[in-house]
Amino acid sequence: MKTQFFFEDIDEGFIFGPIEKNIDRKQLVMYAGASQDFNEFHYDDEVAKKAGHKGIIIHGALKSAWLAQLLVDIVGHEGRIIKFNVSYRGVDFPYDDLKYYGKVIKKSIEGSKGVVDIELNLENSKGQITTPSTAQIELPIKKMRK
Amino acid sequence: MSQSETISDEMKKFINLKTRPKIYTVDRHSVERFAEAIGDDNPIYFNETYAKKTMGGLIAPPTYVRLLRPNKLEKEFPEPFSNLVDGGSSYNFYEHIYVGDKISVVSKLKDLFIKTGKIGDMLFKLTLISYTNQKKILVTTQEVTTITYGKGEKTFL
Repeated sequence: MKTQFFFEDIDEGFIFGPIEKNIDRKQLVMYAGASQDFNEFHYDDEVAKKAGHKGIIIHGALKSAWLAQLLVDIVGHEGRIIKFNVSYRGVDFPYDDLKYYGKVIKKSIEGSKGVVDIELNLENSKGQITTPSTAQIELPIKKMRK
Repeated sequence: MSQSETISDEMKKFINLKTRPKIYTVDRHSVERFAEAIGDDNPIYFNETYAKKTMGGLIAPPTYVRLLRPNKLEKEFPEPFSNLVDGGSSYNFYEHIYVGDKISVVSKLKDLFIKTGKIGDMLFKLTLISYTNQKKILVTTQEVTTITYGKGEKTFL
């Protein structure tokens, strides 16, 4: 199991990741079923082309689920996600080499809580940031435990 | 360039309308299926013993609420465009959602505006969805930006 991150473990500028993803059509069909989003431009190329895309596109919400997964892994069992804001600036496609990562922007102590602001980005294989996002999380503070 | 689309009075009437609450029971299999579909094998979603010890029980991934769709309004929105993209979401998380919870989902259209870009006029809809558990605790909110654009054969549901 992953180790718990503490507020003291990370400084401004600390990078989580990157995590690489290259997904197939099957994963989009699985996500369509699991989220009940049956918009056809996620699995039918013809419909995607009619909507102006080169082919089927990844659900924005699936990309946000990956970014949220990174946050869940960071906060561990003792922290929590407070806010998560994601925008889909560009569409992404299956079989493209995508990667995402998070960067610590700001740390502050509010009461007995360690609050960390993180900027997360998902990039396509051309290095374009298609899915910028921000989050605020709470991490446990080591010295509060003594 | 076609004539600029505007927000009609008919559309404005939808602002602040709330949907009837829709209640979902969070079942274990839907959580597992969701976690599998996003490619997350974290045992807090799969292993009851482990989840009980660490989180107080099996929980749902943060964006699992995407599955908990609100009811539709009784009247259909007068949609002027034929294509749709999801513009993004803004979540606030207050409490975990646990397997077995009964979550009540209510959606409200907050705002509508038009922007003009490369692909012509686009209609932005900001919708606030609230998720409340059986203890009447607001567990999550999600503000969704939906963008519609283009004329022609409708390509979304």
